Amino acid sequence: MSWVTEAAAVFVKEWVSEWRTRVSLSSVGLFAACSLTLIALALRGGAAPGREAAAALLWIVIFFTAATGLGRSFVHEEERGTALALRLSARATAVWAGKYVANATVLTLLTAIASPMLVAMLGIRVVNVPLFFFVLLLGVLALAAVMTLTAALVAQATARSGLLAALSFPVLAPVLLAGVHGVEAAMGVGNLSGSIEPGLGDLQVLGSYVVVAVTASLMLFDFVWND
Amino acid sequence: MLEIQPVELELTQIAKTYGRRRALRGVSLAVTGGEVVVVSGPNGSGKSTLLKIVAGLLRATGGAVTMRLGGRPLDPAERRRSVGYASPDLSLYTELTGRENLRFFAAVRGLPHSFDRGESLLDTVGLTGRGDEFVSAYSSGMRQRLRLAFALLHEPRVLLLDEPSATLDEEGVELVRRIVADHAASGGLALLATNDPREKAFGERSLVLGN
Repeated sequence: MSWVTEAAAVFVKEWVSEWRTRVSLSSVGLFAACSLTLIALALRGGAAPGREAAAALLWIVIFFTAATGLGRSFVHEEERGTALALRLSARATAVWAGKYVANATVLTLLTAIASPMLVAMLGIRVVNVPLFFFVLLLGVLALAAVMTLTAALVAQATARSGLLAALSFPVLAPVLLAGVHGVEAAMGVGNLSGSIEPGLGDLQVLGSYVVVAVTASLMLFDFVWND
Repeated sequence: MLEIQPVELELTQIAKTYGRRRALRGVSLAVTGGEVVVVSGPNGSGKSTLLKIVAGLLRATGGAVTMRLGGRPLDPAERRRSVGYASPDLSLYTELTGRENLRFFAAVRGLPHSFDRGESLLDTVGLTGRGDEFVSAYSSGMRQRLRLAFALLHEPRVLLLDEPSATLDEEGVELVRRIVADHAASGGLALLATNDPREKAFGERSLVLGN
């Protein structure tokens, strides 16, 4: 129970700090808003892209928004010297868990706002809403898990710019592939009846990935954080 | 009544290199509860590095650190969470108040009665009435006092203080002296890294590091 209390304390502190400084929220929000605005401007008066391109666009926005915002929490800790106080006080796994839940919450909120906007802007009908919802939710949980671990690694590096996206992308390739395919299925690509069957495999891949990513992060984070 | 566990610290031939630069070579020391050791030496002699190695924040490239609490040796992770550590490169959250910082660190340490402990520590370090101010509004001296409160939060048996009086006024220097003396009197051990003559007088033993 004590571990849960520790992780919960880190989570609450992350949100209080975030609410007062708006470090991640502003960068994540700004990036998402700019991306959506650019897409809207590019589509002005022209033909909307197909559903395949729409699915890819959605994941591009989510991936790069996550890469922009989620790395900040550990970088901020290292730059300010608070990481030292945290290392002396909390168990590594509790730090990871608290930050993971905080990052996943930010990314889920962003996705909940950005994805309906993008779908509406592109005029695409989602034929299976539960499939769309669960593919995005599992994808976001997987993205947050990998990026929280990678962000702690990147925070130790001298040249941090762009490193998070570069290091995370190959690891997240299965998530992005399953995510794009799952969203395509939810949008009716090869699935005009709106059945869940074409997206079931993607949900399984994403669900398994979340379990593996969280387990691996909990096992590895001590080495990343303390060594 | 809580039983006070005896504490011992033994450093054996500690060495540390950063790339090709040698920061520490063959440092050995044995300290028991009730003792205060002043670690001094010129800039770059490895005082801060030695304290970080003892705290488990850095890995030595050679030698061994053994810390025993109640006769039981602690592993580096246990050592890290059991020492009280304050140094100039340790910062607390500026967007939180002093009181919120202490409550947060007490919570992640799983300390019971964190509210009372935080309150009494704010009084101990001379921050009475300033606990609800954001740390960003604190002066450097007040931040140092809060660092000392952070180091004392979990009632550690080993206190590692790196330049503890830096940025403190005369009253603050006296506060550090009192903290160190009380700690030793209660059977704890302390290592102070300093070149300040006032702080050197706080310890009865000294370890001088060379370049």
